[in-house]
Amino acid sequence: MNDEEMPIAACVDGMARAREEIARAMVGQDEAIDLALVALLCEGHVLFEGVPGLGKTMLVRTLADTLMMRFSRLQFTPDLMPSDVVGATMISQGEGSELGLRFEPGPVFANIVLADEINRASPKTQSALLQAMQERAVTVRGRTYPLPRPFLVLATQNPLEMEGTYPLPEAQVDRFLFKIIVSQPAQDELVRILYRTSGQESSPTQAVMREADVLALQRATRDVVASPELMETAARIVIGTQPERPSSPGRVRRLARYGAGPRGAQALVLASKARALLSGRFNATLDDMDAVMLPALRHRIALNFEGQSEGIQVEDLIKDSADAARAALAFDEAIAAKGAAASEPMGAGESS
Amino acid sequence: MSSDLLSSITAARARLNAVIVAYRALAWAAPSAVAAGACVAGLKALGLAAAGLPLWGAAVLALAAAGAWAARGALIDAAGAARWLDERLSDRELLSAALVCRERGSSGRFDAEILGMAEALLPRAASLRPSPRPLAKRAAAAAAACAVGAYLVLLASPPSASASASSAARAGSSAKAATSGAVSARRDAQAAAAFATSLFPDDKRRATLAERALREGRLDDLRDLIRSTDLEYGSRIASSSGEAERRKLSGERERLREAASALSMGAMAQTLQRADGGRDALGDLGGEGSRSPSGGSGRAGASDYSGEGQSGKGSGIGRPDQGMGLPGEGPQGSGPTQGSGEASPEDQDGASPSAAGGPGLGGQGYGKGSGQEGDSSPLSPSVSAREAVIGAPKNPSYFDLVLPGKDASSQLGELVPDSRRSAEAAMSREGVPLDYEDFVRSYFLSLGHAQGPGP
Repeated sequence: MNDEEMPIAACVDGMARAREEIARAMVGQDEAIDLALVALLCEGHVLFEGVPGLGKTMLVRTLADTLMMRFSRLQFTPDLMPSDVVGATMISQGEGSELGLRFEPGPVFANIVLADEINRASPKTQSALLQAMQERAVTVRGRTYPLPRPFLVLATQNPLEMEGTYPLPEAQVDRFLFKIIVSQPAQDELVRILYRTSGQESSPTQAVMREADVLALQRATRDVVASPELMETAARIVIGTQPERPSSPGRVRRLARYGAGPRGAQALVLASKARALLSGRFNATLDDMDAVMLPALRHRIALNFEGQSEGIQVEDLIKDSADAARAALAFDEAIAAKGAAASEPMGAGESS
Repeated sequence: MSSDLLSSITAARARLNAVIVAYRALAWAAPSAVAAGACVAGLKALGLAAAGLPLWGAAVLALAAAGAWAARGALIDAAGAARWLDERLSDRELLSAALVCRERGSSGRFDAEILGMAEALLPRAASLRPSPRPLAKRAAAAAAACAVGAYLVLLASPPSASASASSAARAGSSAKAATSGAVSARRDAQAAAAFATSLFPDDKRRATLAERALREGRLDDLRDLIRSTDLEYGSRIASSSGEAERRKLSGERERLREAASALSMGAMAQTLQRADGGRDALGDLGGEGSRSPSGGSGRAGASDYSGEGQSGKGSGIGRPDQGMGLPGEGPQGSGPTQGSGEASPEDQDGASPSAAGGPGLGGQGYGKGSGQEGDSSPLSPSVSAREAVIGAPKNPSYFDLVLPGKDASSQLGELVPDSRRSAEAAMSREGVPLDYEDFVRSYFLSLGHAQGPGP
């Protein structure tokens, strides 16, 4: 079925049903679920960070189930080899008695790949996966094998037990669309989790969408309209995170080691569009951008030693930059500065 | 449909730009009305301008037109108007998106839907108007200024035959003196009362004082009254918490300054603004308020004021507790003094970016003064913030550290070696950035010196 046969409105409804199905299986983590769906529409990868037992794996598995996609899981360990990820060429016997080489695809050949504890594998193995994420293809012995579409990597990393891990290099972290912090559930959520997990197993989630619907939505996401103001604000926010820019906020210049780059701005705009589409709108707004700003940028900015020692959070710098961008783009500065536009509107329109 | 959209946005844009132009024109007209009034009155008093009022009117109109012309750089475009409408309609930026769709010829996949939704908003958008209140306020201020300017022109008398000789002798004197003389000579009680009320509409006591000063021609007293009120506004603005209140106070203060200009005290108004900058700088040192771009850098704190820099014939507006006298801050004002206060370490810390700042407020005074180049010696480096942190305690041998929540205390000398070993271990496994290793070492070295042999 191509996307002409599948109206976008129906796809959006399907996404809403998928959201409900995931929420039926998972308690809490609403923001993580929403952002995972946004990332799916952007065809971007997600890095989850949180302590074990918060439902990261369950979220990914449920997402794959509801969208009727192929799912695979990779548990990263220090001895995991690149061939364990992308696949390997094996000697096999053909139809006759001749022996030949056959490519055996690895677990990366799936629609949704869960890379669990990605920072435990060696940089070599991490690179293999991250290259596949970027190019959406793997090359083995000179032959390139395209990965199935949609292709989404959901990686997790544990902020604790950092001994013996290989933190992802900055250049590679930049390839993730979002970094989502999975937080501990609130008390009422925890109570609901206890009710749900200590009784009989609930019914399995239902598949409500297909790959083709997701692909149609991915194409539609790029057609969502973004105003020039949104584009300019995204650019200003990203530039405002760069400490070498004189226009950046003071705390950024003082405490940041490096800031977000063009990928960050692309992530901001595309994720805003996807969020708008998931909300049933065809134009992205600044509110959409606000909602995706922190997960889209937090892993693209690093604090310097001074920032770390002061206990500053990267999120604070992003907010500084966003505030500065908003202030710079404050609507019609000429009037606002003099108070004309800051006052209430007059006329019949204000009552409606 | 899309032409309706564009016409709605264009109409909103025209209205907004009209407000901007009118606002700027009035903003320029208010001070120019007073200044032109003073100038024309001076010329009239000197006998150089026979028809004062038409000349004054032409000058005011020309300056207002210049203000309108200057507003062209601030005019908004269609996208700005769409944003304004979006904000007012809370429509999730639909009109901005529709404008994008229209500009690209509705070629996008969702353009038709967006334009359709935007069309439904057009009746509401057409009824939106910018508020006239700010414009009305500015117009009222301009009208008051025009009244003052015209009053000055009408008050000015052409020189009489007997006085012409002395007028000629005073040809070098300023228009300000002539106008002030005219005002005080008439002592028009009614006009004085009206003007005093316009100066202090909410403060009867000050209005009465101002009226009396006007009637008796004590313009210096009136100036002092305006200065003290201006200072009071400054402190209230600095201490006010709400943005609305701050804006209101700033507006009242601005109006007061405009009224001050009515007395041909342009120089005084500038003085007030400079004083304002000085207070902002003080606010910085005290950890409050925001740094004013004009607030002098490298000023010492309030306690450093020596009082000597204020000797501007009693008319300086600063007070000793405002810390305007400074050691060596460039050109100094009235004469014998440069602030000779000695900066305390805290003050130096607060003012550390540069010790040699702009013009020294304290030394300026507001009286006569020939101006004297200050001794721009930097602050003494002998006491720096870093030394204050790592310097040796006075009695290091008995320097106990009480552990929180425990009934025990341990000698600092017992704790430091452990910490030092931890730091060395961290450095050996590259846990400390290279750039900071020397700093960490020197820190522990300084602690070692400070402790001495121990008790």
